[in-house]
Amino acid sequence: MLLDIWKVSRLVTEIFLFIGIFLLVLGGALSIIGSIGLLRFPSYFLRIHAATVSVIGGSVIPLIGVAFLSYGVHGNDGVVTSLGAIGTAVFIALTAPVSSHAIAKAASKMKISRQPLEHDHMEEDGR
Amino acid sequence: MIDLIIDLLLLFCVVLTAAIVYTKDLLLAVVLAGAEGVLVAAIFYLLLAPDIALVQVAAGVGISTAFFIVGLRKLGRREE
Amino acid sequence: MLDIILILSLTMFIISITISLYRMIVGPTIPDRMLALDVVSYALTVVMGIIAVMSGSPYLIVISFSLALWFFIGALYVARYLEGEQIGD
Repeated sequence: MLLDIWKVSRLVTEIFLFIGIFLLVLGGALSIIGSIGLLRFPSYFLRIHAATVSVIGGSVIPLIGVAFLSYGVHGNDGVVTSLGAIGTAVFIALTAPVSSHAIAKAASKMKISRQPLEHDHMEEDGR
Repeated sequence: MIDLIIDLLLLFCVVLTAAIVYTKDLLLAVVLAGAEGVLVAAIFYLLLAPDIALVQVAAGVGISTAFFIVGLRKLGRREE
Repeated sequence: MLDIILILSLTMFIISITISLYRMIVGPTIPDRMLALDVVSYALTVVMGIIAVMSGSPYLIVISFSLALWFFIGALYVARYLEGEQIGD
């Protein structure tokens, strides 16, 4: 009797299914947009912008969509996949800026920028 | 559909292996080997062998890159 | 209906991986290639999630988390090498 509260109704399942499909297709579109930006931007420090679109918009949002979709399709059997997808999304949202910033700092020390900078704050601070 | 994706990833693996063989920059070879490890792990995953894919991800992306970079610091980056 | 949506989104992510691998082959410097590897790795994470939903097995989502974790460590190693610091030998 107590466990009957966990049986979701059919309407909630349908709503989860539509939210999952919307987030998944939105994430696919953002991933393609980010990849085209990665292909066509001329310099490295411009390409970081496109890669950020493709990672945060194209990975974190579809993984949350996968979580909704797994619960919507499989019901209570898909809870494990749903929790794993949400955990992966949180992990990517925490660690992808860290690795991107580390490589960008290394590239700034390598001086691979094509055009000379107007203000280089890392040079002024002596780092 | 799954067969088509597996064939496409195998084609990318062939191209990446040719790039690894013909390059002269050793750090570039390490980065491309990491990319090929990711693709091979995805192929194992699409063949529904998740345990082998787990080991391949850990060995091909993380540990192999770390060991090769620690060795590369001793040897130098360019190949004559 | 649901199969068509899943295969459509799978095709979109495979197109994204193809374009990013072209940038990885022709990219001029090492940080460009690491950026392309970033995009490829996280797109493959989502592909693994979609396959896990299509399969319905609860064991398949673990590989996605493991791929994100190990790629983070590999990217930090390459960044530390490029920056010229000591990794710890």
